[in-house]
Amino acid sequence: MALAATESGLNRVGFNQPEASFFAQLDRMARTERDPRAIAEIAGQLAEYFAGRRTVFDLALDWGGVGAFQRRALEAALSIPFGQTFTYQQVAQAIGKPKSSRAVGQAMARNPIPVVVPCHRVLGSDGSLHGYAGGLERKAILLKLEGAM
Amino acid sequence: MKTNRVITLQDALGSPSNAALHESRRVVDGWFEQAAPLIRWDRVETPIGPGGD
Repeated sequence: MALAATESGLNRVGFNQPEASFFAQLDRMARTERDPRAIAEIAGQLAEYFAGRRTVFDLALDWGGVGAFQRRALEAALSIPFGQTFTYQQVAQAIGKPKSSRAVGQAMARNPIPVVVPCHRVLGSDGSLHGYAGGLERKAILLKLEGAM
Repeated sequence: MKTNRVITLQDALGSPSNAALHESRRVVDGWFEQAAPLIRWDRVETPIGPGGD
């Protein structure tokens, strides 16, 4: 898993993608520097999450590059507790756009901070996993880890 | 017969000198080092696989 953070907070989480693809998602007007110490807190919380010892992340997020609608949808996903799931339709209703479930799905599919922003907790209205940028298998792993499947 | 020819900036102004190019790149590099935001990154292993490989 690749993690990238600005001074404002965690900006990108990438997995299952080539390095060039990950860097292409970052701000092209920014310098990049590999710095494990700067990422240590984020990496530590993720390690606790995957070990089943953390259910809530306490991390600053940098929403740079995320549009207003997508941010609202992702912030709604942030409010879904560990181990619970919502549907795209429920998220659309929660953000006051009840007819935008398809757009919510696209917003989740393009989530730049997966796992920490738990778009994996959002399912189709029939309970199906639907799309996940990291692949449906990974979405299932995360839901199983949280006891939601 | 008339032909429409696109006049490029290079046609009109000529190519910049090597010295001008060097100075321009120096200014841009200086800005990048001093003012461009810094993104720090790293890779970690997780049960859902690596990333940025």
